[in-house]
Amino acid sequence: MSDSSITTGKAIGSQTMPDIGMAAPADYFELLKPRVMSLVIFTGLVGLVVAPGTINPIIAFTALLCVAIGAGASGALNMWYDADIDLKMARTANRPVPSGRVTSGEAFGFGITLSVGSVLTMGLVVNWVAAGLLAFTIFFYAVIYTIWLKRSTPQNIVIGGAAGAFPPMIGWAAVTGSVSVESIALFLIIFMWTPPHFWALALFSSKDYAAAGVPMLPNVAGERETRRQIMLYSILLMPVTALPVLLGFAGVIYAGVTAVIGLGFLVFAYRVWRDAEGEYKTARQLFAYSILYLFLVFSVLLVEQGLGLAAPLRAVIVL
Amino acid sequence: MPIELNNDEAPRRWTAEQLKRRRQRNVALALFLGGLVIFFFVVTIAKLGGNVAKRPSYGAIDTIEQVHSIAHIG
Repeated sequence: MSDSSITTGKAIGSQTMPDIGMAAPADYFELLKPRVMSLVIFTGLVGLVVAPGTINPIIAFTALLCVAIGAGASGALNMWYDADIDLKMARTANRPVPSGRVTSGEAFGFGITLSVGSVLTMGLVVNWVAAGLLAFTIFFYAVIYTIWLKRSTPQNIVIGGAAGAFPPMIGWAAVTGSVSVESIALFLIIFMWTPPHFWALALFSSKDYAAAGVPMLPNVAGERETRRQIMLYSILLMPVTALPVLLGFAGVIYAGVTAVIGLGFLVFAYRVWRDAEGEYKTARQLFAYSILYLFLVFSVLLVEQGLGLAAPLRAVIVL
Repeated sequence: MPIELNNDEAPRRWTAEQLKRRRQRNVALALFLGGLVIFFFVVTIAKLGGNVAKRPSYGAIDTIEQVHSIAHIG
């Protein structure tokens, strides 16, 4: 039996019962958006492995832990600020803050504490370039995206999606202590992947976003325009995904695999573009495939590097 | 233990569920802090590098060369 209501302090005579809250540890963990954290850890790991140079395994683990905690802190701050609109959306109404299990102040304090702790730990243990990138990522997601862009423009996830694209750069910086063209390429892959991924979600969740007053593209520009934009960004994603090959830190295997799965991405995006308004099966399929696509792109990079097979394509062609 | 207040109104108690969740939070916090201590210790050892336990501390005589040099001067 559980009591989901929070007991408020009530003055009785001259004494007041303090609140002790109803949040369980699992509720605080849910504030961190664990599914987003897993993607962040994975892409950060790939950036770390692909980067030139070596790193102590414990320091590497610390870097990934800080990225994960930092990402979770961003999620907690997002849940703190967006509690009002989360309450209006079926997908998010049962989150810890709108459901009352965690108070707004607790979520904010939790997010701020983890933000500061993860950035300081990254700086002191790994290096301050990675810490700076992590701090910027948290700031970008919590302030630029959550507080400013999300409620004010249909381009919110195009620009705000940059926050999810930083982890491989952070992993790279953890090893090299710097930002490079290669790490920017990894950033760009996720950055260009974000619009078709989230707009596919927005298509079949448009009623939810409309109820919450969030200006997602389908609600502002209409379904037809959203489907067209999904197709455009999917086409743009292809040359961006080829950047690791062009820059010489991915090889034949990566080129082959990404060509095949890229074609699949274009097929799914085309079907969304040509689908009738009000039909969302293809949008759901693209959304699911986009997750698999990103996972495979980064997995191939990881496997190639791990097996020492990342021979530049130009070398293979010459031979 | 639930707190009872002696007054004219009906006494208020924390529910058993509230107390249970507070205990869960306290245990989780204790485990997290303990883990943090161990984590910082391990990271410190990693940052200091190998043979950290055998390194001479500043001012201490730990090496044969230092002992011989002092004995020679004496």
